[in-house]
Order: sequence, then C-alpha cells, then structure tokens
Amino acid sequence: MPLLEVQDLTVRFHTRDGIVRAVEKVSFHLEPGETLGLVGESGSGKSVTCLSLLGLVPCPPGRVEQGRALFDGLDLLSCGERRLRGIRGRRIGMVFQDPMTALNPYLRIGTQLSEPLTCHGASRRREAWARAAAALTEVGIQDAERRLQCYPHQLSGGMRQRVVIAMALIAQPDVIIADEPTTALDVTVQAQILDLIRALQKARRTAMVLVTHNLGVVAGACDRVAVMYAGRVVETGSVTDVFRQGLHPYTQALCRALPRPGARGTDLYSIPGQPPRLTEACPGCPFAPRCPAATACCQEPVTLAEARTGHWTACVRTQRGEL
Amino acid sequence: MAKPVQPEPQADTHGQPGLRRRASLWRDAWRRLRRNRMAVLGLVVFAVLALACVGGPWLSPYSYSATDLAYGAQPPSLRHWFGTDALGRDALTRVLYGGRVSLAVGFLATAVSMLIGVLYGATSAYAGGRVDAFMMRAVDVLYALPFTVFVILLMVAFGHDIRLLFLAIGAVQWLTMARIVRGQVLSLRRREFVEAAVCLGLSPARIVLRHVIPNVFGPVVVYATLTVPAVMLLEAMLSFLGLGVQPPMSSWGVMIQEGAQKMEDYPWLLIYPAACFSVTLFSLNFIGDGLRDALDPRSAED
Repeated sequence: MPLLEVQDLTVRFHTRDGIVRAVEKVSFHLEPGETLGLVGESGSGKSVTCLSLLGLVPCPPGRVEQGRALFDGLDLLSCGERRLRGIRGRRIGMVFQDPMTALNPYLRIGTQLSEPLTCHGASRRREAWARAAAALTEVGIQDAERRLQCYPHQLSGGMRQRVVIAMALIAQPDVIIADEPTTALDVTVQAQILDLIRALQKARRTAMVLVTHNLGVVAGACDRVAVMYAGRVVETGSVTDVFRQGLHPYTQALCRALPRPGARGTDLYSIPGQPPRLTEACPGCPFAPRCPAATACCQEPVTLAEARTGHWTACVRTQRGEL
Repeated sequence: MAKPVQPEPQADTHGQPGLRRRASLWRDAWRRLRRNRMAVLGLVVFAVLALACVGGPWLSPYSYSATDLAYGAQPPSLRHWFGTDALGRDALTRVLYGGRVSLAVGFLATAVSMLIGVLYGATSAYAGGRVDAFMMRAVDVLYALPFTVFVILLMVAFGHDIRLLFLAIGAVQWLTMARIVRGQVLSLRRREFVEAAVCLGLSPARIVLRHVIPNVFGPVVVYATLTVPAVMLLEAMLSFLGLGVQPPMSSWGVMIQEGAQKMEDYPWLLIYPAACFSVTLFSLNFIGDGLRDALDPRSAED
C-alpha cells in the first residue's frame, strides 16, 4: 500500500485575470522509502502540488478544487487545519528551496531546529536542544553545540541548507518534500547536499518527493519520476524507463534539450513555442501546439494510462501505439 | 543518531565570527547597544533626566504649588535656578514635577499603544482575508472618531483621573502602530521562513509570537520613540483644554504652552521646560535608532 497517494489533485488560483489552472488532475503515489522526482519547467505546477499537500496554498486566491491525497489513510486535502498541523513536521517534513530565506534571521539555529520537537510536546527544551545538536552532527556540521548558538546569517549557504534539512528531518517524518533543495546553491555544494539527502533518506527509509527542474538531479537521486507540463503529469515511471525510453513527446524533447558533453559547437535543442497560458481551459493534450507528432486526436481529452508495466503516459498517440 | 554523514568542508566554516555562547535576543541586543556611542549617550542623558524628575522634587526646598507673590516672575538666580513663574513658584521644581507627568504619560501610553498595536496588527495581517478586512475597518472607524470627543466622553463617563489620560491616549495611538505592524507582517507572512514554520507544524499563535513579531521589532521600536513625544504633546493639548492634568499640577507640555504665551517677558519659563522636552526627545531618538540596529542580529559585527 502506498504511503502517499494523490488522486486527481486540482488546484486553481482565482485571480483578476481569470482562473489559473495551476494543477489539473494530478495523480501519483509514493511508496515507503522511495524517492519520486517531480520534474517540469517553471510554472508546470510542481511546487503548487507540494504546497497543497501540506495545506500551504495561499487561499485566497488559491483553492484546491478537487482530488484526494491519502496519507496513511487520512486525506490531507480535507482533514482540516488542526489535524494537518499534527502531520506537518512530524510525519511530513519539508525542505525549502532557498536556505537564505527559509530560516528566521531573528532566531538561533538551535531554537529553530528544536521547535518541531518542543511544539509537538514531544520533548522538553533541554532534551530537544540535545537532539538538535545530534541532528546537526548528522547532517555533517562539525562543532554542533557551538553552531546551535549561531544566527542564520553567520552560516554559509551550504551550511544553512544542511540546517534546513536537519530541521525537516529532526522529528523523523515518513515523507520529506524537498522543493528544489539545491537550486539556490552552487554546483559543488549541490552535489554534497544531494548526497547528504540520499544518505539520510536511505538510513531512515524516509520517502521523498523531490521537486526539481534539473534532469540530472532526478537521474542521480530518484527511483521514479513524474514529468509535469502545464499543471498535469504527462508521464510517470521509473527513472530508467522515463529517461531511456520516454513515451511522451514532451519527455523526449526535454531529454533532447539536455546539453551533452562531446556535442560542442552544435546548437542546443530547444522546444519551439511557449507553454500554454494556464488561464485558458485546455481539454486536450496541453503539449499539442508544440508537439511535432500532434494530430487532430490530440485535441480530445486525455488521461494518464499505463502503456507498459509501471510506465504511464498521457499521450494519446503513444497509448494507441502510433508512436 | 547515525554517525556524521559527509562532514562540511572546512572552506565552508572559515572564520565564522561570533560563535560565543549567548543567552537571548535581548542580551545580545543589549551588548550591541552598548557599542553604539550615541545610544549610550542618549541612555545616560535620559536616565539622568528621569532620575531628576523622579527624585528631584524631594530634594528641592520648594513645593511645586507654593506661591510666593513677592518673588514672582524672577529670572534664574542662585536661589531659583530656573527662575520663578508669575505666581512666584519655583520653576525648577515645577519642571521636575511636570517631567514626572510627561514621562509617565509618554511611556505608559506608548507601552499601551505598542502592546495593543503590535498584537492587533500582527494578528490581523497573519489571519488575512475577511478577518483582516474586518479588523482593519474597525481601525478605520476608530481613526475617524475625533480624539478630543473620545477623551471628553471618557472623562464624562469616568470622571477626572490621570490614569484615564494614559488609557485614552494609548487607545488612540495604537491605531497607527497596528497599521504599521500590519504592513510589515503582510510582507513577512509570505517569507519562506514563516512557511517553513508552518511546515514544522507550529500553531498560528506560536508563529506570530515567535517568528513574526521579533521581525517587526525594528520599525516598532523606531515608531515607539516617535510616539513618546507625540503622546507628550497630546497630553499638553488635553491639559490645555482642561481635560488633562489640573493646576496646580503641571507637565512639560502645559509649561511650554504657558511659557510660549509669556515668551517675551519671561523667556526662562519657556526655555527650561522646552529644553528638557527636546533633550528627552533627542535622547529617545538616539536610543530608538540604537535599539533598532541592536535588535537585528545581522548587524552584529563582532
């Protein structure tokens, strides 16, 4: 039984310019201990999907219109703020994108780190502080006792991200949601942080949803991947399946657009056209206007279907075996 | 817990300053404040003035209300350092007595306004949506209420009482504070660390009190130092209308007002209270500036 099962999640933002369909009928599931990559370009709905799981979509203007997110038998989307609060931090941890802004500049590292423990009434201050020190050591920060006394601005970016990770993990959650945890860091630190997350996750069998637009990160860190485009999941499957034998033309185009060593001097491939405006309803395949393989049938409604075992695609033509 | 995973490279930890053990935001702030020369000067000057106002009247050989008509309207001399007023009352003693009232009104009313304003503004902004709209419309309504009418109503209802003065002024001053705090919190609320706090499962009350309010201290403290003089002036106005302190009691505001009317004949009756008032305001401004910097941990250069 999956640990987290999201079904038909639909999130819309009701703005003055119209209804923005940020997430349309997104479904995925997460097994215990596994890592699911959510990839897609900016605005494809990755972050909103994650935020809605923890009830963090700003409302108004955002609204979860439809769908369920079953976590351990409880629907996160309808269980109400109070029960959600018991889940946040303790059962589902979140790692934010930018470690520069994800820590409160006015509180010491130790205070922030021990907060998830003290606020759930799990432990007393001194005990929580000790566990915070242990957590810092665990994320590879030396001299933890002293670091606990620091303010965030006294630490470097990489160290802060380690703190943010320690904060997400300190209450030993079953799931971590990491929203582009390495985007704000420079490349060498990125690799360290990813290794760190992977190692900690393995050691504790924590499941993870890793949001990123970096295909390399997905290939290196995930077991399964869901490719998102214009608020929908267009393809999902194991990392090898999706990247080696992408079924959806969008996934194939994404892989083609990756820079390759040895391909010096040639132009980088880019997908022609622009992603669709999310304010306009799009019943068919959202990628059709940019898709080289699009035909008239792509205008008809399409759902994710299993094309091979464990490998799902939302391309009508692939489903019919035409591609 | 598990053994360390991949230690942080040394390059990341080089020469990080200020790793000393510290107790609290306030103790840190105090240490930083002491480094700010102007703030310390302001603090010292203000402390001297406040002490003089509190203790001085006991040491003074004169009573603030005893008149000596034969010795009226004397310029400053060794006998009466600040001179005497038209009724022959010792101006120094009166300045000190008036200072008690002014400082008390200034601080208590400011404290009241800060307490209400910060909590109200932060709650309103953090709650957002309809709650926010409702709370802020309530502020607008109160804003529209003429202040003097409000005070007169209070006085009529509860009689003359200096404590009512604190209450009345505080009850009006918090409105601006609430608006300032609300604006700050609105922008803070969407910052990632607040969302991170939500993700940790903290309750809204805890987030507002521990994560949001400390971040608005800076503007609040600065505004508070501006509120103190404003409040003192308000008190002067009320007293002028006969709603504040009653003669023979006095306050700086009242003395300045009276002094200004007789400025050409008895300038010392204006100069001394006005000087005390200005010095207080100056020192408060320096203290406020210093506090703003000191309360921000990022400004620690040690």
